Amino acid sequence: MSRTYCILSVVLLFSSLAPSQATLAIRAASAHLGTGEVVTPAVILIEDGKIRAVGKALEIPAGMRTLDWSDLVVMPGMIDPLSTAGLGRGQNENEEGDERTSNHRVLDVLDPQSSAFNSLLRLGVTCVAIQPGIRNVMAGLSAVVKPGVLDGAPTIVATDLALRINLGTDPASGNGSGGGAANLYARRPNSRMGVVYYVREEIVRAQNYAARKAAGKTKPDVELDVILAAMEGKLPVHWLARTEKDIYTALRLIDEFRIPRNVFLEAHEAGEVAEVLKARGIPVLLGPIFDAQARQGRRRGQVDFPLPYIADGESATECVDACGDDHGHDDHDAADKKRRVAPEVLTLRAEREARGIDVPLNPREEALFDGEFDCCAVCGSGAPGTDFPTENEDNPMTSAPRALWKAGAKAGFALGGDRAGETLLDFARFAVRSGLPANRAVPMVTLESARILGIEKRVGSIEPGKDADLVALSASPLSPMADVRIVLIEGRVALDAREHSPEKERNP
Amino acid sequence: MKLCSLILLAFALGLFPAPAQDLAITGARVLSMTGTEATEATIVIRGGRIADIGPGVKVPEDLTAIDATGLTVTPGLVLAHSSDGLDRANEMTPVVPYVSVLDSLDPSSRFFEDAARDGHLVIGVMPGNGTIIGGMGRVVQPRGLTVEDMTVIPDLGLKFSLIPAQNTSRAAQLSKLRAALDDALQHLEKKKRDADSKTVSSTGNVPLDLQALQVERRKEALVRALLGDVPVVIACATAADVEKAHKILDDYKLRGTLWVAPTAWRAAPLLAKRGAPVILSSDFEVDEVDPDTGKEVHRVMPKILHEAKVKFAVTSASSSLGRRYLWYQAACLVRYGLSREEAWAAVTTIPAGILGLGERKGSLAKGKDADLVFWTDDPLSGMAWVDRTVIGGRVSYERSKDPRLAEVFGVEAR
Repeated sequence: MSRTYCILSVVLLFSSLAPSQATLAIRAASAHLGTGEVVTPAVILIEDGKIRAVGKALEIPAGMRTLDWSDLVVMPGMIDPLSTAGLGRGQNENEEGDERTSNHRVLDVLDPQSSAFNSLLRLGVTCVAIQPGIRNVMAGLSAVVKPGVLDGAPTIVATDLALRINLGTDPASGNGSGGGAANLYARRPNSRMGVVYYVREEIVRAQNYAARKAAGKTKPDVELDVILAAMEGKLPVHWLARTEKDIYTALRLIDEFRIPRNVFLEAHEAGEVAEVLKARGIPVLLGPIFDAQARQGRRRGQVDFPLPYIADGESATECVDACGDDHGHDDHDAADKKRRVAPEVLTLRAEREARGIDVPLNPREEALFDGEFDCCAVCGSGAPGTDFPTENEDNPMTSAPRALWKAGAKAGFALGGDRAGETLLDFARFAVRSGLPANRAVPMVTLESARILGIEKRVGSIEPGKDADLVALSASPLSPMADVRIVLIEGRVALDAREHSPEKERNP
Repeated sequence: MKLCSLILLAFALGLFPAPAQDLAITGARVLSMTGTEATEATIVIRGGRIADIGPGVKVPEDLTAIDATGLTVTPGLVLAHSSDGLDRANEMTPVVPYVSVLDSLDPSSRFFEDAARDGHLVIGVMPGNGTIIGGMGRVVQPRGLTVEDMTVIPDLGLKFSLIPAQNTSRAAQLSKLRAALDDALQHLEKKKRDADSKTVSSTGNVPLDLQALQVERRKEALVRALLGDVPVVIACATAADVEKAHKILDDYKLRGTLWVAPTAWRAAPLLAKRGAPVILSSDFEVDEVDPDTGKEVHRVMPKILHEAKVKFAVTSASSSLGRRYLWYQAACLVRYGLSREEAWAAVTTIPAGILGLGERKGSLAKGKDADLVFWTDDPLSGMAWVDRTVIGGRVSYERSKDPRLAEVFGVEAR
């Protein structure tokens, strides 16, 4: 049976191996260390799940279990810094009741057995920063986890990473109005300006709270404490700032409130402002680039309405079926599956109906809400009155890495979830194709992201002292023909995709 | 874009074609798809066709020669099925056999511009999967200003879809499909009875004079399909659809090919038994969660079909970054375990055969059409750009004159 279709033995629960079994040696054809350095051939020594040494011709202690990966290329397990994997089904990453939820922790809804992690392992991703959603102005506290469960518990690498602030129109999109006059019942904010106003208002509230706190005149406020920590530099601020104008808005806010530590998320137009980012010392987590909505029309603010994403396909029924955990949508009932509307649009529509809002829609929204087309306007076919360019050549996302590198700005790549087929390495490969130096490709999906998230002491490269999170590929990471064959997490096999593997035979 | 850029772009895309259809190419590494690996070869083109190809071939003195040293030359890639470049992929009315993509194809669409840039030189444009009978497709090449200029085969075939449209059940979908076919069949029989017996053939193998029969224009396309004059493409989303598609082809004696989504992977044995090549959707992988155990199983359609010895053509998805390129899709096939030759066949010879152009396109050999792509590197390396394309012996795209790329890379074009 295992011959006729591809079942990967994904071992999410690998607590059966005692910790001493995470001591081993690996002989590989070569190893990309994540620093830009490549060792050919490579010997890696692992002790208790941590890298002990890596080199060309290391001596392997007698009797140490040795894996023969001499036909495989090793690289560090990849890091996806912008993921919503593992949040489980349902409305989990967006708290609709309030725009300002800076202390809501994604860790509280983590599902370590989520199938999204299987997909990530297949892509060679061993570490994800799970992000809160994009619907709130101040979203929540992200966490860095590894897929799977080790010794009965999920592996949490870091928690409460940053104060998350979403700029742009995403926080406004779920709210009322949309072109017509806002009424008393429409939730605010519903414009870019409104979003920024809410950010400033909340920071000022936090500052007032700080004054009262210093004078001992107030109870603790867990939400404002998070904002205060960011203002004092104890936490970085993660700004969702896609377009150039959002980036400049963020910079103004950073100056106004003298916020010491900042990172820009997604930042599709970072390439345009590479010099500024370098000068300000603000790193960028670039991505996702495979979603059409990320690439089309976000330049120069052409599209101000965050369009729901439908997986590529000509029938919306396919799109609904392809809807995975990332969409945070409640159980699809049978009726939904037949409709030609994206799940997000159904949710929006239901919200509007629930609130009794009936405001005139602009033509694009009308098209979306009527759902009378085959594929969402985002996919570029069928939507009335839209003609989305499908260009890649002047795609800001593939040319941004080179621009950032040239300017000396710091960046890491993000996948933004689990996507069948297209991988984080593909992002790196396209970046190299568009001019990023080849030896920067692996670091951009490993060590650079680790540094930006502040977890580089533990993950991100094959260096002594770090976790033995390794990916073995069938060819160089830069080749689109390279297949992820084996994934180790802390020295233990998390995935083995080889048809005949000695490990499988020993531990069925 | 500024006017001068537009004009430059027009030149880059060969909209003002060079006069000669005679050309020679020297110094290239040629991947001809005639069963051998890429080798150094010279190609001589006369009258838009390959006159000679091989390592020792001499360049005739009267020909312009392009020095392609350092480049890899492959046949123009063949996209067997695409619904892009149209005003709209699907009509609202479910049964529209009388509609043709001739009327909705936009030659100036960005899709065709990118097709040249990506090396996709033969495209089977078909209506989408959202109608029951979507209309007539055609084979085009990315050149020229009008649909006529672009056309290779005006009537590629009729598109059927078994994927239920809005609020329809599969049973209703199929019954509507059969109703339309039965109606056309009845109409044909009636016209045959009414017509002069000299123009009538009872077997359907001799081409009938449709004009003499005075077949209603709206029913002409379906009648032609029933007569075997044009084939059909049937879109299937599940394994059950595959069985029904085969039945439709057999019951109505239609020639045709199936388009299959990865969710139809269970039909691999059926497809193997049928022995005909199929067209795959651009996404290859599907995850299925067992409702009882919650365990997820990952299926990879090309891998399953390859193991079942079913031949297939792969398609691209212009809305996606990676899957937009047929070379990327071919590289994925290698990742799944196919050899490089097998992967390339899925984007060259197999789709050419499916489109009925196996004799003319999909490989580089004497007598075949001179449709070539020049790559800056091995196209499966992931780093290659299309440097130049040639369609029918004429240079149709040149990267050095492409203003869109110039915008991206600035003065130092890669």
